[in-house]
Amino acid sequence: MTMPVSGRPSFLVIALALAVASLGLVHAAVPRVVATGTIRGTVTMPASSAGRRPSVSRPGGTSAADRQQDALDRQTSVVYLDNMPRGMAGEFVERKARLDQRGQRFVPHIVAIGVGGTVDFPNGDPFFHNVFSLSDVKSFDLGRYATGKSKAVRFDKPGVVRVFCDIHAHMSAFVFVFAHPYFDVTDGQGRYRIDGVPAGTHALVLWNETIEPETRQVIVPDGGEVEVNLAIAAAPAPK
Amino acid sequence: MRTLRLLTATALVWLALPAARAGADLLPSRPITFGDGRVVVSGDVALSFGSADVGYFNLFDYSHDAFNVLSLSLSAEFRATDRIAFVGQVLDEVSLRGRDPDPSDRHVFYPYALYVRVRPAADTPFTILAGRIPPAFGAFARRDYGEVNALIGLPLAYGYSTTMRSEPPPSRRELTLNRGGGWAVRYPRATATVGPQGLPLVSARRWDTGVSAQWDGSKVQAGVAVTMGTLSSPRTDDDNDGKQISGRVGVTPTASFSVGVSGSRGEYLSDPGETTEYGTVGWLPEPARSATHRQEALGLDAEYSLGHVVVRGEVVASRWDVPFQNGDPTLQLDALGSSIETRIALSPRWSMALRGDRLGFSRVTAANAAIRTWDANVLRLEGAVGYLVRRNVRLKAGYQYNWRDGGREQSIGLVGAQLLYWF
Repeated sequence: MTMPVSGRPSFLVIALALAVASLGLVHAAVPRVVATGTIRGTVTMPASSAGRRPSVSRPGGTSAADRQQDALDRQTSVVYLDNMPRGMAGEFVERKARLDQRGQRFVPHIVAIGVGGTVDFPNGDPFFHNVFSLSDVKSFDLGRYATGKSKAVRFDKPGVVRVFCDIHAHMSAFVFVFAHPYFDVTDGQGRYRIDGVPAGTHALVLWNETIEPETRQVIVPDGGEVEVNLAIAAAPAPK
Repeated sequence: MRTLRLLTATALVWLALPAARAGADLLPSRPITFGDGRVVVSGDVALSFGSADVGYFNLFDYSHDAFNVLSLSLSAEFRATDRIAFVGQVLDEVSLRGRDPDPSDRHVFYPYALYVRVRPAADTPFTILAGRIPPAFGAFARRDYGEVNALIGLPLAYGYSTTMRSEPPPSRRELTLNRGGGWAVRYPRATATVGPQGLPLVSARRWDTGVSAQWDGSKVQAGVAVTMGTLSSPRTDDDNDGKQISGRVGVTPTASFSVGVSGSRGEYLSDPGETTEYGTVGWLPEPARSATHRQEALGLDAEYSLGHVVVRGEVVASRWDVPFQNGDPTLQLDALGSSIETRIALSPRWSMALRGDRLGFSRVTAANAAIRTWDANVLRLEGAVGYLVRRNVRLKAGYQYNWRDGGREQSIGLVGAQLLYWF
């Protein structure tokens, strides 16, 4: 699946999608056993520390802990199958996720859900935040709300949604919305694991905010595991 | 000038084009770092273009007009250690239209901020700043980048040039003859063809030099500063025979409401005998020569926000001790600036803002023996619509109407647009 970040589907694409979806529903109605396997591995990245914008007006500056967390956020990646595997349409992938606003940052930096899933945005800071997105996939503005309050957004289209805070310009996060269940967000050690992948050859995509997405072919054995370790060659200057 | 406008239009298109294409990051969208994160560089570009302000209501430093200026700012922070950082910001400004008394002022480059920041304890929000530092007074000049200004013009208290100067007027008569002419305060009014701009109540475009200590807690914020100049006349060196002490205490009882009170006191007059481009600062007769002449100011600022609405109000009361070179008795001249503004987010991309602004002055006996305000009162209404092209590119279009009870142009309406980009 190519993750759209902008643009609208044409009528032809919509018609095609409906046709494919209806075929999938017919398929899903017939019980069948699909051989599956697992893709797992580690994403490694050179240490980098992209900084927050210097604020000459506010005296506080940023702490060493902030900078460490900024660097960790940059290393978080998403690994996913580019396309829905053949014959797997109709899989239930909706999930619920939570993006906290804590210490003037979104925690975690990246969440991934299925189409139709909901993300909660609770404010854990003792001051206002204002979560918004200008994405074509989902555009919203939750307004300012205080400590302990939470607002939720439902995501109905697949794609990447970049989320910001209108008050704190250095805050940003990503919401990935998938039309299939074959994705994972790396943990603090860069590890990922995608279970239940139909056996066969798939295009595996590595996404990290510091690089263009990278795709490679992966063969998933029937009932087995394939280890795919991915390296982000260099961390270029942030765009 | 026509070439300059063409260049400006080209720059506008250049900035807008990459913004219109999602994913085409030709310009950086977040700070650039070097040296393993120890050096962070960020910047802003603000291009404002609008009607000719023939009444000079929007003139700020270097005779630049807020509605017709290209402003580039570059900030850098070098984190020497976890507790010590050096912060600097330079401004490069090009006047696109307006009053240009000196061609060299059309394009200026100057340091806005340059200070060392020391954080004695890593886990407390206490910092010490030394150098060219943000003012410990009021709210507008210390507001953070994303929220600096929802409109195009500055609040009157922070930008409008009054007829006050940092040198003594020749006489009371000369002072009042200049009413409404703060863009060029000429002595003697009858014959002088040029003069310097008068002082605003608080300079938002120049910061003062000194030391400050700040506590930036979530519920209580407090700061105190000792600086070379005063709010209206910041300095890099002490040529006004005295320091200013200023401070602000703010409380945030709930996340939706904050309020702060500020005060300042400092000597603002330039040393007699100092030569400026407009002549030599006049000597004062005794007893005024031995007396101290201060600017004192009090400020009150408040902010309420909820949902998609932010409302801010600010009042600045300033008093100057004004001696006269001909021996007229020293006067205490007052000015009161008050503004209220609101910003409403209409959608993720669209917003609108409104500001009502007033600047009033105390009364004195004028040249013709009538009792009048020492400068002409000003009233301003301004509104703007903002469109967020992308996260860090905002386009504003606005209208501003000004009334003044004196001076060359007593009312004027201005239309303007501003393109703002930051990373």
